[in-house]
Amino acid sequence: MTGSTISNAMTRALVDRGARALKFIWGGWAGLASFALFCAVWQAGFETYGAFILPAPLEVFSTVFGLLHIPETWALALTTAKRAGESFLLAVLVGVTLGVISGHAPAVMRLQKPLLTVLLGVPPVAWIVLAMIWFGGGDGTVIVTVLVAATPIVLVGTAEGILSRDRGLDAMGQLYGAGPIRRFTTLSWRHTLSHLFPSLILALATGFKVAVMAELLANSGGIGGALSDARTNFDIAEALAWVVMSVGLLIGIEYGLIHPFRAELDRWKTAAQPWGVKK
Amino acid sequence: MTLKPVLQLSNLGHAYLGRKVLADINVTVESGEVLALVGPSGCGKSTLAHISSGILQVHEGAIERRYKRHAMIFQDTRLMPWATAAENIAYPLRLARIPRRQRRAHVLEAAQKVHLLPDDLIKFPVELSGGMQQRTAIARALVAHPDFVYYDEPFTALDVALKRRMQDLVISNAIATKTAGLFITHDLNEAARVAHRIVVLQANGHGILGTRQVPGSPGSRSDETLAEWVRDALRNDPLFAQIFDVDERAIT
Ligand SMILES: Nc1ncnc2c1ncn2[C@@H]1O[C@H](COP(=O)(O)OP(=O)(O)OP(=O)(O)O)[C@@H](O)[C@H]1O
Ligand SMILES: [Mg+2]
Repeated sequence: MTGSTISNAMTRALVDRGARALKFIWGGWAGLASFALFCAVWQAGFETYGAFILPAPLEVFSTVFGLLHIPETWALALTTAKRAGESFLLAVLVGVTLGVISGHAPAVMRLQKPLLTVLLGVPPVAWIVLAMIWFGGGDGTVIVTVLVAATPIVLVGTAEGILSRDRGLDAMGQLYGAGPIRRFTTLSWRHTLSHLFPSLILALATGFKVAVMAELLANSGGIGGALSDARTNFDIAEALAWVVMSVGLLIGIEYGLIHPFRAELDRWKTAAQPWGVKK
Repeated sequence: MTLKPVLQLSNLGHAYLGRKVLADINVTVESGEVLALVGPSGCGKSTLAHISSGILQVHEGAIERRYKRHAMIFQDTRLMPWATAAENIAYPLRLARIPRRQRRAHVLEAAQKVHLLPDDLIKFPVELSGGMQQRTAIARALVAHPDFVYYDEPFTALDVALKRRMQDLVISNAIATKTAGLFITHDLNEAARVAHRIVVLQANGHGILGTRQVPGSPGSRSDETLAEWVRDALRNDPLFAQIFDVDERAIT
């Protein structure tokens, strides 16, 4: 019986993974459809306002392909990706740590709530200006700005996850001899992780947007710097091409890294839904 | 028989936010004994089990526990939604730091006891029926071979046939391993079947109304004598008449 159980479990795991891959591709079709719609509206805008205001999508995409052949483009994209990625990871580290603490300590939560409101309320541009004064126009400015913008998002997501944990499960763990640390690692953390993903995705997107913006304003290279150059030269097609590339970079990271991880963790949520049915 | 009781609650009381739900509770469970605890809904039975198992803090009175390892079948199943049935059953073993390899055999054994198929073990709780979830929770309670089990209305979600089989499981398991237990239920038939003694809680939780010894011992009583005893108790014993008059759930 043990043998057949194991092979059953393995077949099921394989079938599950295959189904998830197919679902992913199916999701890709939906994405493609909305992309086509978006391009159609873009094209209509081009035909109404002319190439100087809004270049044709085809022209922008061919500029993108042209840029992709230049090695320097990749270096610029890498600079931005590295800055955004590093500060995103830092934001996750700081945000999750503080979130876990404040999720467990209502007093800390109450103390930091007004502070978070202020932090989330100050527009990123203000931080960029301050960071430029403090750090000049380098990596530091970009990273600090992203950190300030993304950390509160992760913090709030984590704290809400911890607060919404099932106390009944906690009691169950306690009954079977789990101390506070093991209850956290086996129960609350697992619960929080499922809750955290929307905030992680939001924080990553914020990180990218703010990084490009900071680069542009501080003129510190990367995609933002290239965007700034394109603006100076009134090369609208190239400016749009850089925008397209930064969006592409974000989508690549989100769907290549975060979503597969999330799908693996959230198997239990999709398990009860029949295949292909989406809400 | 000078063996000390495995569980002894003395003058136990409890209040939720200043509202007293339990007071003056004196209960003992002897070694190897299953004690049934009955009382109307909301009288504090679950609270009593939670305090004596240590989930809730003792504010009033004293508890003496002389067992080694306990388990509880909760009224709500309390399964981890993100873990498969097998992982849920294995949870107490995981907490006891038993290696993964050894957990497997224990999980299969416990699952077999509650008639869960190996195919069900790889499912998540959302994919299981209510009765299967309940059986998973029962398997989790039995997997680590506890010597004291708190049963908090464990069989309410099961159909009649399965309920009987699970009662038999509790009885045979208790006899084979000398497991003592506190069995909370609404069903006097069930209480008389699985327990040595029945304790009735006051409707407001302020004290014990009374105790009755069920003749014979679990597993050795015939269905006829049981039915007879229950009918007689409900008709003639003021202890039960009073309780089950007000309890709407007992009318089934
Ligand atoms: N966490 C809680 N906070 C406040 N009051 C509670 C809490 N849990 C239970 N109570 C109250 O304590 C009383 C006893 O509840 P308990 O769950 O122990 O009853 P019970 O006898 O197990 O009922 P049932 O048979 O319906 O399961 C009830 O009046 C309930 O409202
Ligand atoms: Mg209860």
